[in-house]
Amino acid sequence: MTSLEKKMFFIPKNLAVRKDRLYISFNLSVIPKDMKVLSIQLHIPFHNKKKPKKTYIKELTSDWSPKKIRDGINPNKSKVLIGLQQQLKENELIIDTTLFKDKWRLSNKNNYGIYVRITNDNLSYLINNPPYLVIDTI
Amino acid sequence: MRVFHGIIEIAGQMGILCGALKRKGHIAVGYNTFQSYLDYKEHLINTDAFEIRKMLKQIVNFFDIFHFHYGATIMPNFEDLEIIKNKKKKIIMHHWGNEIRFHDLAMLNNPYVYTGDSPPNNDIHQKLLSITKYIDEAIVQDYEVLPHVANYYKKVHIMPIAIDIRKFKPHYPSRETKKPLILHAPTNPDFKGTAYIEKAIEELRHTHLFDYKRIEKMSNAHVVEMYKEADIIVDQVCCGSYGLLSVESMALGKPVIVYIREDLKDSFPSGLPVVNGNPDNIKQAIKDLIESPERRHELGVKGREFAKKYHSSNVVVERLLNIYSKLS
Repeated sequence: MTSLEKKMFFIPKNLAVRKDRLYISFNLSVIPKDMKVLSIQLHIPFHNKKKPKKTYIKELTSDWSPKKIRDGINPNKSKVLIGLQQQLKENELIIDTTLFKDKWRLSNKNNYGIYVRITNDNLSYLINNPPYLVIDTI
Repeated sequence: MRVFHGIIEIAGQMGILCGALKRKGHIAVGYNTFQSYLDYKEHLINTDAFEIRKMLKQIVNFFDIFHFHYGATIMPNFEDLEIIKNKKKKIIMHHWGNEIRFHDLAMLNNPYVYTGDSPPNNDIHQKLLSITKYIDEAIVQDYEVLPHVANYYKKVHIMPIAIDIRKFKPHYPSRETKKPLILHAPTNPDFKGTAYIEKAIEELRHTHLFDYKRIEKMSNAHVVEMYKEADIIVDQVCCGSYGLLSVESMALGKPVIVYIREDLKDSFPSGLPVVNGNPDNIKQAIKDLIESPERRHELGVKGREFAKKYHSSNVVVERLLNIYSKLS
């Protein structure tokens, strides 16, 4: 059995799904100031056994809500972020989102979260089985 | 397994239990909406009622087990319990004392008990009726708390207070000390019987050599640092049972004075190594320990063993996992 003692777990503050697109944000400003964050991994439950052909990740740069997404009002997004490592482990797609460490933790006001698109996959099941963050701390 | 703890942190227990569950490989998160000078933060997300309510849907969908504390749940009027129940998730309530201590019942076997912080009996009754509409099982730390909830739940488990024993290195009192340091840390002076303790202290100052410190409004981490210097620790002398301060003191190898009700003595594991002191005999209890450095040391050694055996979170979590496994 692997100890998870040094890890923190965060579930989404906001979550919306539209077809193959996931909008998600987390509030990490509550992590104690004297704690050092080493890595942030986004775990997305994944029901296909094969690694998705294409996954796009963008940063959200304006306010949004699940209701607005349902109504077709989408927030602004950055360009596709490259260099994010992904792996498929036991029915979860794991994306290394450590690069958002400072923004999500220290700049809560400008933290609108990210957009993940997994092409040709209906992600509606994520509403009942939400993605989560696993954060390594010391 | 994914375990939710919330939403009021009492005596660091949510964090300690979450830490122990994580060591066993489970995802466990304590959401705390009650922040105090005690400054508990390990394995917790310190949030507020507004923020946590906004996340209700995600919380209910993510976690498998809901372990609530102190008679509080996420939504007002326990509205979340029906939602959680409908999702077929497991729920348990952990009661700690003041929130469910019926005034008359508490005084039945205890002339000293202070219940000024407990709500009126009828409020407690109504609250327990609301909770038990959805929750069948509860946890309490001992037989002092048990009778207050026993008639409401289908099953009530006794599970001792947990501490992370790794954080308490023993500092046994020296047998050579001529001027012992007595510590008392009242989070709630009326409940702990501080007035009785300090009256005894003042009287003993005329005849005995010792130092006395009263510790208040400090973080738990800071208080524990101060305990290390103590030769005698006086916990609560009115309640009739022992609490976290006693357990932490024993883990540090300190002799503890605390009131254990006569009718409850046998309900604790045998050999509970504390000095029994109530408002009527507290002066004598303190005096005996001031006069006996050898006994202080001996109690400290026994206390450490007792805390390790019965209150280590590694021991307590096994009991907790067993309780979880049988929840329906």
